Amino acid sequence: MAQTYEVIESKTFSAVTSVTFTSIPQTYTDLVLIVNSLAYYASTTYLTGAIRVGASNTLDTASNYTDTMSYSDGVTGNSGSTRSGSTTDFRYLEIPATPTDAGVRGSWICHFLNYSNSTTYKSILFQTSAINTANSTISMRMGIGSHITTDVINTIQVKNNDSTNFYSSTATLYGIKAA
Amino acid sequence: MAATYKAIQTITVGSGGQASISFTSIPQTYTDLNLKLSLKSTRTTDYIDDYNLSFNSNAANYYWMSWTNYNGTMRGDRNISPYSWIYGNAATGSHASQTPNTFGNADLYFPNYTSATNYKSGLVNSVTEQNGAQVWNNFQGNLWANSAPITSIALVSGVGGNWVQYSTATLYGIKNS
Repeated sequence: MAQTYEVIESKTFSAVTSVTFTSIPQTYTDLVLIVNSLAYYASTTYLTGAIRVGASNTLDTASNYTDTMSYSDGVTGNSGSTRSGSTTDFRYLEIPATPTDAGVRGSWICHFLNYSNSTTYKSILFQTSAINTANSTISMRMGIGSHITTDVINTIQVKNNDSTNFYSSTATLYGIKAA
Repeated sequence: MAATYKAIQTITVGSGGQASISFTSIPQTYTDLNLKLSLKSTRTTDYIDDYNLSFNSNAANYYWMSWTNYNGTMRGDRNISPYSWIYGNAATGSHASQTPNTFGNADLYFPNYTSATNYKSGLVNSVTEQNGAQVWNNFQGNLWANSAPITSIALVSGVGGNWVQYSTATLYGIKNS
């Protein structure tokens, strides 16, 4: 039986605000990105994580992103949904943050569907969890996004939009073949 | 490239049912775990049941959860910590209004489960339906506030009943290299 779920690349990173996968092979049907991360910050909180994509090893920094999410906010106990349009990245992901390593990592699962076609806009599905050890809560987010270009995706960036550094984090990109 | 997504074990409940579904001696050779469930319990008092999941026989208050759910007419959210297990949706087998042969499904993902230094965070999507008035989904983030590597997983019914025949649980291991 053919193997259809393969590792493309795995990165371990610290002391950076972003990490980027480039030259992603165009030989799969879908991509799955798994992130296990923590960011350093002066207080214990959640920070804004984001994803940017691009073609030809160049990130798209134009306002070509929209995303919509449902959330359960561990801090306030509220849930809801919201939408962001015409932004410069997918920005509804979250990262746990602590002043020092508190032994927690947040999790992301992101699916990039049909990423190598050059005729349709690209969809992303994501789910994230971020932990706040100060008040023993978790913030869960689940959403969808659309990259409003027909460019193939060969570059994916994981970034901290609050511009603090990641600490001892991992990101792994998998490729899935339809056949 | 190496194949990275492998079934570690599938457990299918036989006739007569069983109270617990357990994975033991989980290999420490993968990076992440993915658990897929198709569950129905013998609960008779409601349309839905829960599965209660615990790691390493650890039933103390080390589990945190936050979720949003929807049952077709009412949306809710909840944050619970600490708690004695992680839970999500499962189907009930014997409620008078339950449609036969309906099982609840769940997909659970636990990154970096072999770490001996970090707490374990996970993501869950689960759903169960009565095929009538009641449909429930649950989108959840969770945490096991324990730095021990995950070596076993146990699943019991939320109300203490049995899992019925044909309930299944498959544990996959995923490598990052």
